Amino acid sequence: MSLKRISMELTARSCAWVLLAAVLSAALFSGSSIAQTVTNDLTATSSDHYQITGDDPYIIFNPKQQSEKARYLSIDLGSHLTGVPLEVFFSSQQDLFNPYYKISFTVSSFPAALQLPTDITFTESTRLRLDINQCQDCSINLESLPVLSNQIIGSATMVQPSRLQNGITSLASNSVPLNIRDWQLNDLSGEPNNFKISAGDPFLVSPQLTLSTQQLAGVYFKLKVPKSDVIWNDYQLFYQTERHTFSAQASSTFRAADSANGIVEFMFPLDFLSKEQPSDAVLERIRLDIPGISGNWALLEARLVHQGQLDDYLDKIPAQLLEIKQQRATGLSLIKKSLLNVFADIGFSISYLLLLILSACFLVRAYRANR
Amino acid sequence: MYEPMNNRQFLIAALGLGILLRFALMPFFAHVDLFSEARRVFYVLENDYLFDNGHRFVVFYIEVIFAWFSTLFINVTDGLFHLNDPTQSVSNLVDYGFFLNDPNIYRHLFFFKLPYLVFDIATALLIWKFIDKPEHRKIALLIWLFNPLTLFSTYIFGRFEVISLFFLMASALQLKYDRVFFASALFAVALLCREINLLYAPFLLIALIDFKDHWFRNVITLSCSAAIVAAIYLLPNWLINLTGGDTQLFIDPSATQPHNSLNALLSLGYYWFYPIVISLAVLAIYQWEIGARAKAERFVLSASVVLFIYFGFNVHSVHYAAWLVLFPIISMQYGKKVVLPFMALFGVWLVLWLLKTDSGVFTLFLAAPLTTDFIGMGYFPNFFRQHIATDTFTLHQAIQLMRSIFLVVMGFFAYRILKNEPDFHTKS
Repeated sequence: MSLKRISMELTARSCAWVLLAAVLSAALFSGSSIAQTVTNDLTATSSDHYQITGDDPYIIFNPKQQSEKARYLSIDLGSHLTGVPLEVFFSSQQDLFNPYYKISFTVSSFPAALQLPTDITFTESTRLRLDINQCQDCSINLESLPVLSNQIIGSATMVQPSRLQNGITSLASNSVPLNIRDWQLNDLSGEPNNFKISAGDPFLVSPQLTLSTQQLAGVYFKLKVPKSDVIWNDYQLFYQTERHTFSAQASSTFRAADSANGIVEFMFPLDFLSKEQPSDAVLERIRLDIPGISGNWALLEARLVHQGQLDDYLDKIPAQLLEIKQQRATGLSLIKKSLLNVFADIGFSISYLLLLILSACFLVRAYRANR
Repeated sequence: MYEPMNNRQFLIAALGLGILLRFALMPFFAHVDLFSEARRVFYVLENDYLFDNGHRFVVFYIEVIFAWFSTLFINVTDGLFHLNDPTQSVSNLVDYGFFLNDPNIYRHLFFFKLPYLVFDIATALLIWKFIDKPEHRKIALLIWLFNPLTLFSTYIFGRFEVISLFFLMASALQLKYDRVFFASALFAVALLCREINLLYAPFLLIALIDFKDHWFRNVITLSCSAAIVAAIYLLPNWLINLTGGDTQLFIDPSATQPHNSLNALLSLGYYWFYPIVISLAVLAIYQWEIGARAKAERFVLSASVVLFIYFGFNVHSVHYAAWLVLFPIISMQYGKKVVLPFMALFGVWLVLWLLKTDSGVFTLFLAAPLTTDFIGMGYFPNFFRQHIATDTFTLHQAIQLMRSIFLVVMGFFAYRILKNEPDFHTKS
């Protein structure tokens, strides 16, 4: 084969590759504007209309951008979402949005201009995630993508965030005391450091915490408790995270014997929040429900305990503790938990195994003896 | 060289494997009713109210004796079984949650189920003794030892049905040997285990009639037997009242259900009541008609069909189906072919109760000491609604369909029990 012919063939092949690459690129980029919107638990009923079909509806989109230092996110979702709690997650890595960075808001009428914090910088590749909460039957009209701008566009109504989470508090290596005075009381009269039960649903609610659960071991309480008529009383801790508000499905109950000196100390473990699946990244608030004992109560101490200090608080974890979790131990955690159950009563575990072995041996022996 | 198993070896192998299987189940499964019962037992032991509780007297004392024995091996965590008010002894889920989270949970469950194991195995031995033909007694033993109804009710659900069944079995065995008064006494003891056994009482009395004997002797026999049953059934409550005990120790005084239930029962408040009464009356006529057969045969066949009628029209709790197992098994003594109906029963029972379940049955709390989602599907009726049901075939329709199939299986069972097997008739 001559050099000329080889050269011609190579040129023809190169042209073919270039042509193929061009066709593929064209195909790829022609669909980019549509591919930029990702939805979850939402079904498109027409080109701009979506119906909620699941428990976790959200849209990920690439907003139109008029300014890097945008002050507003102009958004129009149609009339069905007025009054519905919405959240925009604004920090992501490869579409894994960080729960530490979010803006919560509610809109009274669309179009709306959500006020953004001043220290956020947006780029052309910025993607945002809009979550629709507490609405199973809602639908969305998304005629145009939201716009990041410096000014309110057109007749949009300005919306203040109901809550802005721009980063998060992490627990230092020491335990952190919670300010007793900031706790809110329900069906309790007085102050957190001296109160009485006034009605049937007494509890105390912490101030907003916005705390990373990464190093959290649990919450420690010290209370002054009046004398009770019954021997055993239940204390229940509810924890609100970025995934759920206060609910019995996310609570722990501790059963305490009537205290001789009037002081009750205990720690509710919360290490599972970050370890088990699905994990909770942010502890937002905690609530302590107390038993209906009449007399003078006082919340003497409340403290967030770091995992490094767990050993110091082990004796404060109640023997009778009921944890109802939204998380599940899986994989190694589940095996570890099961083994802990076995080792928790090692005497029985060994005796039980011996019983099984001896029964099997006895069965074989009796069987052979009756030939 | 292959050597076939002799009868004794078969008994040993079956019992041994049955016991090992039971051991394997005992520590790891629980239902809230087991915990409620344990609280009552420990309450009686702690407070020395040994002569107070008059409810299911025999079962309760057996459990108290075993619980006392178990205190040699278990160290009860403070407050775990504490009852503030004995009339509120049915546990709520918080108390049950504490129980499940106790470090000694496996130990507790193992010891609480020990009395059931003893009576379960004792029943197996009586079944072996009751049936004469080796091939029949082997099949009967295997069904008793490995049927899912008894295993579930006793070792997973953790209920005491086998104690009642043991005394019924002992009563039938006494009847086989024509020991009429012993049979009556043991039947009365069974009544003190489960009130439902009262359904069998008319059929026991009819079975005691010897149609070849003089009517006067029959009257005397029946009167004495009825007196024995009544005396043994009523004596404990009478003695407790006499000695100042409280027969209402664990009864909630605010519960008005029994009174309302009786009114509703008689005024067509329960759709199943009159079909059951009418069917039982027809069964009594049938039992009279087969009067030439032996007492035990007449009692066993009627007792089998009594429950087919009861469960054909009525659905209760999942573990009550364990009552269905005993009499059809021992009807094999009379040549009844019950293996296929049993297979159908196990299948239909499983599917029915997967659909018509609550959190405590097949799903969330089945093996709660291990995990609250044992089958990995969460609450099965929800799973059915989400993944199987359609607009035209809802969960409710599926349940109704399975109940209908359950009735068909009961009919199939009744047919096999009532079908004439002349080669196996026993003479009176």
